[in-house]
Amino acid sequence: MDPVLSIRDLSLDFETPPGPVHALRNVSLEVPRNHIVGIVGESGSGKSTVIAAAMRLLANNAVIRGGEVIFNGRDVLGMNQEELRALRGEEISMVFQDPMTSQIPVLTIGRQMTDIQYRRRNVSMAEKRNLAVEMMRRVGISDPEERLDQHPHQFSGGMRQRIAIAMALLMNPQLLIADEPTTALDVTMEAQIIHLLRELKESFEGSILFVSHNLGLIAELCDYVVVMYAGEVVEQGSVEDLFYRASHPYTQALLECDPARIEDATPALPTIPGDVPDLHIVPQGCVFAPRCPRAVARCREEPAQIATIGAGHRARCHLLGHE
Amino acid sequence: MSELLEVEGLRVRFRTSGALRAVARREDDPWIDAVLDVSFRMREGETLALVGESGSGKTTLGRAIIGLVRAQSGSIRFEGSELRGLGDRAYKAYRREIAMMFQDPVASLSPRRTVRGQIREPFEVHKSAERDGEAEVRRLMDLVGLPHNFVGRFPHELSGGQARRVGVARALALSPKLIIADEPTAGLDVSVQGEVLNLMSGLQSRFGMSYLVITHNLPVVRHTSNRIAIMYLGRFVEQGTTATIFRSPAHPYTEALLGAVPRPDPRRRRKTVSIEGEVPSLKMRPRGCEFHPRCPYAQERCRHETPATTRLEEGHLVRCHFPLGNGHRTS
Repeated sequence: MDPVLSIRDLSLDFETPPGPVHALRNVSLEVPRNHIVGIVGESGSGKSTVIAAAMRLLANNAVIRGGEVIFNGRDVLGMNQEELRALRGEEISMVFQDPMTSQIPVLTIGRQMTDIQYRRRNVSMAEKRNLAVEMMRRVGISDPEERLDQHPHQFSGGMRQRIAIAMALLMNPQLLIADEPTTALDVTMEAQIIHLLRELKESFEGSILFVSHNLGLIAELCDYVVVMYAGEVVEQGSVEDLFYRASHPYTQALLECDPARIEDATPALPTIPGDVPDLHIVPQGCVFAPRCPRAVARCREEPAQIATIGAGHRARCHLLGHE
Repeated sequence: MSELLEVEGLRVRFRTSGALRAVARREDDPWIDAVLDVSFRMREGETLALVGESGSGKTTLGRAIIGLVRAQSGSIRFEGSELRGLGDRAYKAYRREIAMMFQDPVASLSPRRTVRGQIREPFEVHKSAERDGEAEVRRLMDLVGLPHNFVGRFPHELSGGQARRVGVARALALSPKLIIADEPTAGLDVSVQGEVLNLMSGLQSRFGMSYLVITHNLPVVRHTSNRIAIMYLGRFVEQGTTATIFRSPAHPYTEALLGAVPRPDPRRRRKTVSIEGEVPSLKMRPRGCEFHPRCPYAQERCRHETPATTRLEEGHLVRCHFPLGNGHRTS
């Protein structure tokens, strides 16, 4: 079956006064139907830019240099405003990082949840409200009938993130994009939200694109993983490939750094020395070479090519040979 | 080793509405207890981690120790002197000895001062007889691993990790004996987290100061602290050595917090959630044991009777009627 979302060779710059920032370079990834794909990367890796491009929510200074974004066989980059309106919220919806700012503070939750259904013209107001009640119940909010008349500030952060998920699923989207949905929450609430997403995934027909910097959450939730570094996809594969057969030195270093993976107490935690490169000038060789413990002369001279390690498991590294 | 800090029965209350409004609304108790009946000791050179969910009172406790919020009752003794109830001027003298690193590395720096200005500020505030201001700034930048050419940069020109290093340099400036670090690694990438923690432990082995680390991140404190105190609704529900807390937690809440940490291993996915619901409002503390509404092991007694703190072994304290590990552990 066709993937629901397919991004091919996407390159994107941000125009800034000192010159363009080459924020994404030849990014390719796919979200298969009925699966959860995770994008993991540190700040500045371009993971949020990828999803902004998928929904065409890019800032005005973004310039797409090449590549395509195909959603259900249609080219998202070529869509006009009207087509985009039909796409967003209905076919693709999104849960944002900060639940405290993603709802309208002056409208009740019920009003916001019925407004989202504005395209359902032949559905009565009462029926829309019933759908909202049903969805609130599914995300674990008790007394939804009464709580629909409350305003966002009357809910806790965790509840608001549940409501954001309820709103995102209300129109039965084929793709749900969740951008760091638990970063602002406590670890206990985080575990509950992850559990909820997994449960909802069982019952709704759709895919999830989950963006996070937290490897633990990626391992818990995702079927496939895409690792990004400095605007490039450096490795992708199944969740087992990534956690048991990590091949790119960056993926390996990232896994080593996660304190949750270190069972024995150690006074010196592993780190990745050096800084993320300034993307005004893209390094001539492999982007990770300046920080890579295994870099050889060739890594600094030629850009790395994609190597296939196994079925669906690819990494962009000189040391892994060519396709 | 001598006791550096002794906190006994500390209580911090906040008013939730003004006196007149409370009367008008017929609220008989317009107060909440953010910190309640907290007692602990810290020795020189030790790292104690305060762990809890948001609203557990961990930041308030840290701020009460350095005198940024006033404690209503109890005592805070630092090297034997009582700090609670001191006025601002008297407290200031102790803030040379106790420094604080605030949450959010960038926002806790003044946006209008350069790195040089940020690091000099503690000397200015405390009118420290500066030997050579510029040399001090360079010495501190070396200690925290900031290149000298950063001296003229403003906070917005720094990454999160670099801004955190400036925060460490400021805390270190007056050679304090205790540094209160509020979420020192929150918002930093994992690779940078390690750098900041390694820096902090390196400085500790060199200068021997103590750290009170406030955090919600258990994996981080596992590698950096000697002891851990778990807070819930303003109280300490358990305290013990780091090894004990991780190996044999006695309070069901501690066990739940440990269970909520996501495991970076796709073959060990959790099927169930270790703890349901969320922290109740401080305005409506549950009766009996305050954790009972969320506790998977709660029994009748827990609903009515408030548990006292009991000592399981030397240094391992728990506030629970039925501590785990006595035949109650299920997993």
